[in-house]
Amino acid sequence: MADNDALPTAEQLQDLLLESPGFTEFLLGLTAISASLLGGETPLLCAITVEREAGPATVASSTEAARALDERQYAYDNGPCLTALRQQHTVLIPDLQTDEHWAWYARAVADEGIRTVLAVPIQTGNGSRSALNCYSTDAGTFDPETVAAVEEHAASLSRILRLAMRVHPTDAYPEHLRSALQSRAIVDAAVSLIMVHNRCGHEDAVKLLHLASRSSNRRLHDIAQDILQNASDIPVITPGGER
Amino acid sequence: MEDDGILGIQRPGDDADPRNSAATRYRDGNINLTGLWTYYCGIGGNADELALDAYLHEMMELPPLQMDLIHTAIEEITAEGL
Repeated sequence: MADNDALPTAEQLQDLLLESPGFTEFLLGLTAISASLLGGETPLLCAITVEREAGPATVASSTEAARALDERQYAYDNGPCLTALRQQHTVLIPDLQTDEHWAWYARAVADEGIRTVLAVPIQTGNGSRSALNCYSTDAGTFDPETVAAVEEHAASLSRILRLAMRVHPTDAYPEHLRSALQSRAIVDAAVSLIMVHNRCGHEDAVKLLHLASRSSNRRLHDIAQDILQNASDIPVITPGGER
Repeated sequence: MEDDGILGIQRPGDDADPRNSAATRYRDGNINLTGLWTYYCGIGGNADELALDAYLHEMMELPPLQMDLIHTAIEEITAEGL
């Protein structure tokens, strides 16, 4: 499958870096490039993990499934990709079903239908550690040539990853925290609007917002955003009360 | 999907113990506590992480609205597959 044309061009990588608003987005793009270049007949799931000296690890995955596989390892604080990352050597599990050393990992990811895992470190220096993780549902995927191709591919990402870390310094807040903060700001603003509109208290306003989300079966944050964008949709307290 | 959340809004605690279903979903959903708390805080929740932990382990009651928000957070997280 993967030949040496599995290497991205420098232009491709630079464009990605220039077009990415943040480090997470850049990593995400990188996993997509890796998955498309390395994948053969059986699609490959790719994830890249970066641990920087300051700040938490960033994980980007080409698909939701790859993300679940990666995060499972963080839950156990162990796994093939974390081993590759921390010990900086390639980890290959040719067949999860027969591998004794990784039997516990095989059990942990059994529901994802993955048969084989390859994790390759990426040299990024400066106290950071990175690894490219590939997952496949086909046990025969990682033959020696493919392993070599993936290693070469990982090596080719080293320079652009170093650059990306320079361009995007560690975020003070990890991604999920930042999105929660943004969400909270929007929810709070919508709650204030509901309060002013109904001259009600904070708790009643949150209740109204929650009820609006429930009855329309949409996410609370989306409803809050709608309310801010379109003031006519502000929920009102109906006479007789909602309780 | 059960609509106990809506019942919860109207008459909290009227249905089967809401903590049971929240705790069960939390355990079954493979959700981590900090992630859930962060999400819950993001949609306007006001209880702290320790209180959330105690609630999920059925060791503590929370105000009805907070319990509803926790339910919603669990549902939204599970739906997103985060």
